[in-house]
Amino acid sequence: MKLILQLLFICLLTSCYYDNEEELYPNAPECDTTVVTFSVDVQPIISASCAISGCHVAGGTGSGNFQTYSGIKSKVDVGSFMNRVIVQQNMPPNGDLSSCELEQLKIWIDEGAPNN
Amino acid sequence: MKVHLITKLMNFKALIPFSLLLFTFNLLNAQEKGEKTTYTFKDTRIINGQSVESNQEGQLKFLISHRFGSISGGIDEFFGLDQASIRLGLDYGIWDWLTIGIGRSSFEKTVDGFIKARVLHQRESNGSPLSITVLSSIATQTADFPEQDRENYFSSRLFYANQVMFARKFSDRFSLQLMPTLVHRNLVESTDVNNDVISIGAATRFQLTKTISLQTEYYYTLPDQLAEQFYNSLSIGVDIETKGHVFQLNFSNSQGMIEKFFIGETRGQWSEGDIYFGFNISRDFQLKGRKYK
Repeated sequence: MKLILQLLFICLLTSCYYDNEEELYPNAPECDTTVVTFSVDVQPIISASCAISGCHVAGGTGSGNFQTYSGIKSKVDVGSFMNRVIVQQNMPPNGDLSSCELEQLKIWIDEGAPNN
Repeated sequence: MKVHLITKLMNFKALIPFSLLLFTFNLLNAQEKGEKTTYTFKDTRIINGQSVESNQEGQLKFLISHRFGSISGGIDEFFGLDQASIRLGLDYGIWDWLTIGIGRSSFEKTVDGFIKARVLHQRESNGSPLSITVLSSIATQTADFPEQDRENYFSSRLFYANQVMFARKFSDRFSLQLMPTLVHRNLVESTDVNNDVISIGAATRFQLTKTISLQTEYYYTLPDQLAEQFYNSLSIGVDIETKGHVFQLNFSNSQGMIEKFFIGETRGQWSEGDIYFGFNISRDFQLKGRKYK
């Protein structure tokens, strides 16, 4: 009980900020979302975070092979890519996609996930 | 970093009237003579949100909640069952009127805690026509910060929700609950997005048979508060009561199971087929006092 009250007290001390990323990080690098393509933007993100050894590769434990466009597209088409990566954000498991990368992936999916 | 000192001080000041409110209502409760109304809702959760019900003193509730992917995924995704999201929770009744709880969602790897006080109890006669419960919760994401090359703050990952629930059991067959709610996010993406989101929830319970009831739950978020990709949360569920368990099956356009998600970040639309099947199952353990009341 004492621990819970202490935790609540700590939370109260750190409570209620009215921050936004634009003002808190004015020098953050620009996120280029004007033209998002599979080869330039999407594939590098997936190669670095998803199609890694033991995961979404041939023989890996992850569902689907993300080394190929068709393997990625099939998971986009059924909605699971969008759901796990963009909505639930619990994939990749360490949650290491930046908000810019998430935005680029979302734009690519919204455009129909073309092989461009 | 912009710190609202006045807001911080107000948080502490707010505790004073809140405590007085609790004290007054408990005094009123103590003076009321009529029999307390029971089972306004069958469990402490309606579907995604909480009900006016609270744990008994010494009662520990272990709550397992699952939400699956969209049923529009079809047979390839087994209508969403391939994409489970889970919340495990423990709620404990310190007194009959005060419950605390903690939970962990796989959704954005979020840990949440809450304190819930039942300040007024509906009476069968000669007393309050309503039950009132207040809820205050806090949530934080636990995954690593994605942007490691900037200075990140723990406070940026904190989300709060404050809710007052007004409920009335009109008959054994029908209950209604209204719940104005304030969700606060310490850090949002841009100046266009509000840190505070005000929403008004409404929920109903229709008792179909002795052990089965139908629930609906809707949160209407006041206009111009959410980004365009977010929608109001609408859920429909069935409660099945068994000995020691309440088993809740539901369909919702929200996948998150805490206020931060289903009020502020519901991405699905019923009209687009973004419907998520889910269930809650709870098991109660009596840690203090008589095992069965």
